[in-house]
Amino acid sequence: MLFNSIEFAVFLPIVFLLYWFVFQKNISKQNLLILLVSYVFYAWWDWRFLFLLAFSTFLDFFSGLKIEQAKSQAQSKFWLVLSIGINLGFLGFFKYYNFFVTELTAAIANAGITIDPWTLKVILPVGISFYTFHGLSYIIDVYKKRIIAEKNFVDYAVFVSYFPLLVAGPIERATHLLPQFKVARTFNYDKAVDGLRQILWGLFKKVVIADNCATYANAIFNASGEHNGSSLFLGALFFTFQIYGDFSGYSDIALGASRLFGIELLRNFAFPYFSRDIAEFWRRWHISLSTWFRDYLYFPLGGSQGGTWMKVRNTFIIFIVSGFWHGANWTFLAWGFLNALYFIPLLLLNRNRNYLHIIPTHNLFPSLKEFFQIGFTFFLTVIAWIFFRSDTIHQAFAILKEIFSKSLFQIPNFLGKNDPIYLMIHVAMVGVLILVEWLHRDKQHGLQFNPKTLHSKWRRWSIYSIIVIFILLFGGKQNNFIYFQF
Amino acid sequence: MVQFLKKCGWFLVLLVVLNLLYLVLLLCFSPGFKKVYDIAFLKNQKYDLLVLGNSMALDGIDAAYLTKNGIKSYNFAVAGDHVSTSLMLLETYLQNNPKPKTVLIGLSSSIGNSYLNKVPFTNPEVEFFYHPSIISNITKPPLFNFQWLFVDFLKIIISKDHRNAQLIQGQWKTKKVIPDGSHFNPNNLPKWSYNDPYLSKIVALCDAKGIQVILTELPGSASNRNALPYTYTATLASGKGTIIYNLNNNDAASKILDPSKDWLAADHLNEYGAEKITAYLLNNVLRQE
Repeated sequence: MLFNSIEFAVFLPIVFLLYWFVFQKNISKQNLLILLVSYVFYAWWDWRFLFLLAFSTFLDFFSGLKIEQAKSQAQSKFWLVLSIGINLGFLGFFKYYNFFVTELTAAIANAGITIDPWTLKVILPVGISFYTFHGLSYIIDVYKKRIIAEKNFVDYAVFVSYFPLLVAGPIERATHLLPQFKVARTFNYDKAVDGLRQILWGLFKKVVIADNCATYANAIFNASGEHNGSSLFLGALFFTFQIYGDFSGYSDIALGASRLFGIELLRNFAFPYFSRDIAEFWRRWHISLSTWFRDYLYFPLGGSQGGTWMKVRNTFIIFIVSGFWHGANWTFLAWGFLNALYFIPLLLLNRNRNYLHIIPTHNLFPSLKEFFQIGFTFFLTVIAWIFFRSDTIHQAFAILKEIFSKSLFQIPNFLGKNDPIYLMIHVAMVGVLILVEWLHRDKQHGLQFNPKTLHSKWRRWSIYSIIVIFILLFGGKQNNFIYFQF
Repeated sequence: MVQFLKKCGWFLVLLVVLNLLYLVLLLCFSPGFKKVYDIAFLKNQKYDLLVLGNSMALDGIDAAYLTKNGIKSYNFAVAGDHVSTSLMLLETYLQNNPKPKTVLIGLSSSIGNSYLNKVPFTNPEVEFFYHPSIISNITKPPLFNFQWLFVDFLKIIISKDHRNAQLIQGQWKTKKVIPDGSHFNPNNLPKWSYNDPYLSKIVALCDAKGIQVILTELPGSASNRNALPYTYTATLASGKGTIIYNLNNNDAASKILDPSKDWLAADHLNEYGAEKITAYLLNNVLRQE
């Protein structure tokens, strides 16, 4: 079930009414309801993968109990390794098996030996990377004694399969989310209204920005050989806004929907394109994944505690693993590698924590220095997204070669293939996105109003009307969310 | 909670009001939308000839010219139409009005197969007026369902050519000129067959009512023309053979049309080109038939 579908528009209010009006007096029943509807939500794609989700949930729940009950460190470690092994085994099987087999076959073929590999023809279970990471964080936290093992299976299962975050995150931590399912939820009007605003803004980002930018990005990347440098650069720009609108839009809808049920989820995006350096960008982009890798990979590897070599090695490891988490393709590895290259100089110069807060909000415009910093960081991310979006490394380099040629200064040759008025509208919508998010960059999301400055009901409702009109009138063709494939 | 539910209720009201306002805006300022509204409710109108087709026929057949020359005509073509929609328009017209003598179907092989597509699709404007449905209007609210009409509306605001264009007897008449700089490729082949069942149904309906049907391939830009004969016989889905007047034949189209003056966009004629094609049809097809 897509967040941007009619089915979800019917599903969400029904669940909301049942949750607050039928099951409101009993936490267990509320949790059971959430579990059932989350399974319905997931089964909407493919009910067969419910078994995998249920198995993964049961495995981690059971392993958590066994780790806690273990009489020795070795026993505890056994259950930890078993759980991590099986979880990563499933992830590897569904997500990476074909990649490894194909690459191995190619490597063997280079040595002159031809083999006929056995490849899988299965679809990737939606959200497997996300719920696997939920489970892993829980198991590791239990092992590290950061939390006690959950004794109630329903509560644990809700933590893993809570529908707003089930298929594309944010990747939650048991320490943050599980306690919320253990206490009575009370309806909070302000939070619920803010949740609806966040849903509205998320829909705008997905339907208007991402789905329209996707049309141009797909047309340009799918025929990259036919386009000149300026078109390819525009294609990369469109993809830059597509992926931001798509994923941060999804996260906004997830956070907003969750707020309707009195559950707060981790923030996943904090206006990353206003970052002044790459380190700040990575503190603002897909925050739940970045912090996951920081806590469960970077720190256990030694983080930045060792010498320079250790810092560099660990940074490369987390960026490359992060790239590989996105998919089984060399392009994702290259994207991770390139981001590590961007990050290393800041780390070595000890400037990676220069900008811990959003660009100052007391000024309407950034200073010239900030403007260039934001522009340069944005440019670096655009270049990195080329690797992320390309089908092959070869294509990515061919695109970069064309972009850094004289044809960058030619009139984009993709313009003639599109109705200019649609292009103008869609570019204007990107302008609206940038403007609104810039003005609200100190807030949690683009439509979070400050009651002191926007107390007029009429002004608020005028803004809702404009956003609704934009969504309906300029919404692109319905597309899946990009991160479902991860 | 009550306050929250009230707010949600007001939001739904807002959605309804915005969509209703959009419909009013379209009825007042969108000629295409207004045309579909008008033809859906035609009653007791006697026409000698009805034109069916998609945007190529909408732009390219001059009903006023035919009327001026003694054949009272109306252009029923709707942009983006599929032949199944044309059948719907014709059936409704015949229920409420006297039958015409002739139905002229403008085909558009030059721009691919959207009119005779294998998968029938309904034009949203036509569906809205001919099969009104609350469920459909909820799942596809007018603001979403008629997105492109807003873009047309914007074009009317910003472009003088669009502002000056008029809908006359159903034909979209514009003086806008964009020369056709494309070149004919003699190897161009016909792009589809004529075995769409809805085309057969239109022909069968007309046969049953004693209405003459004329099928003509409308001319496209030079690069999309063909080298098929000026007339040829096509086999319909019913097995019946029928004559196609192929104005997309490059020799015929080149003689009739001026590439520097007669086009408003690729494959679409402006009012000058439409008048020439209509005059040709009148003298060489309608009067002969």
